[in-house]
Amino acid sequence: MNITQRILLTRIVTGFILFFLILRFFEHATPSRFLAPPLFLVQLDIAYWLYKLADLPGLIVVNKTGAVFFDICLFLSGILLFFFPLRKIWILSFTILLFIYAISFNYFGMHHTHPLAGFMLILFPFWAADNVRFNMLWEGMRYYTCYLYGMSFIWKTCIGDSFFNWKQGIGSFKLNLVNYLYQNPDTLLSGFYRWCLQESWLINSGWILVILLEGFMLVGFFTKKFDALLFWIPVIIHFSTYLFANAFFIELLVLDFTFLTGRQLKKIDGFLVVLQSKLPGRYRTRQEKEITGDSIS
Amino acid sequence: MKAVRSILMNTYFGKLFRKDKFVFCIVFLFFLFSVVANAIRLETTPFFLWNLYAERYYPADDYSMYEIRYNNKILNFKHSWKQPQQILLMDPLLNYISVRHDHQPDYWHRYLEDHWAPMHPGFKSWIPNLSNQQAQYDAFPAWYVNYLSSIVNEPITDLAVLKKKLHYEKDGRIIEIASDTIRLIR
Repeated sequence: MNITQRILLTRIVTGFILFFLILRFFEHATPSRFLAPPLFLVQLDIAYWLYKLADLPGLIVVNKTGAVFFDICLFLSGILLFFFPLRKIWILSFTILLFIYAISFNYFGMHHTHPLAGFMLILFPFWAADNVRFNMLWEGMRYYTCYLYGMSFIWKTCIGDSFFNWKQGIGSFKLNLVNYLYQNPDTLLSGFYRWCLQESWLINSGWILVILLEGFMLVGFFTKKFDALLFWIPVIIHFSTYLFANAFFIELLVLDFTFLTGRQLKKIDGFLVVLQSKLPGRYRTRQEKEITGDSIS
Repeated sequence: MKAVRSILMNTYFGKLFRKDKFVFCIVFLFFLFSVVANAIRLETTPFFLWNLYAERYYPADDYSMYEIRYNNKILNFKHSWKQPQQILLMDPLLNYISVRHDHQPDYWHRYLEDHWAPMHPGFKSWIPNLSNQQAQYDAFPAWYVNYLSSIVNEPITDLAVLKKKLHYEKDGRIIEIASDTIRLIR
């Protein structure tokens, strides 16, 4: 991956993260909109212990000015990283602030969820100034994506045994959708869900298929030939769990970008060039122009 | 032996070791701790456990749910993409109900007191700082009203939580069997 492709990749990743952060802001799920919740949960996670003992919750969530300042810094660093993708200060600050945000959300939400895990990790490879080092770290992130789904498969088949419970699909379906079905009995989706409840074999088979797809991600450890396919597997997994298990893990799809090859990035860049040529001008930072020798301004 | 070494050196970690030992150490340790965390079932961020739905779920006919009613309106979580907001509205509330309404001890407070502190007596003084205390539970209803009010964009004068017992009919429809009201403010 060359430096132009790295710039594009930084923008894709940052843009994806910013989109969901903005969504969270409007959903009252960023520190300035938490309004200082009193209850919290640390469990046995040392990172949360340190967060609490360092009094970060008091500083960036409970303190109103601190919370507003934190949100401004979080969004501003992300926006600046989008426009200046090679500036180390924005990469470092956005990574750290995202990490703290994810811990804050789980801490006050009293639920140590994992949809933000991708946001917490994905930017670390961009810390590398040297492009060779970046490529190695980015490849490592690709392996982590394969590991994540592979480990989920191992949990369901070897450590736990839910894979061998034929009724697991319909069990989690009924549990997770009971609220929706009760509160929204007349929607088209509820009608579809009721049909699914009659055809429980379909939900159970879908559940088995999702686990097998998770297991298939382990192929990524041995070859990159299937990367185009591996890109779509997490998309299928998370959209099916969104629809059939009421689980919003779409944010984790940020890790999916690790399967984009240099050739695909070149295609995306080409598409964007065509798109931008129809606009009055094409924006490039001075640093980018120097690196890419691009004369488009 | 040479063959094994050759295979290992051609792996991602082998190449990383040859090219950049510093990065190798960081990446290798990250993967190692991630695997160990899953093996010993102890999550320490960023070494996550990927065990969601690893335990068995069996279908039942009856389920419980909590419904929030404010100003004679029902709070309806219609879209899954609103889950971050739903988590902030539901999980602390369920903990509050469990402790204050059902008079159950806070699970993590009890775990730290009964299991963790005896093994690590030096850290016992930290426990009050690491779990919710009475003052925090006292402050919860006011925060909840304020937070919900900011979401629904209207002042809240009446707030109740209904614990409902629901039953799946054969055709997939749901009927209410029982309902218990927990009033937060009136």
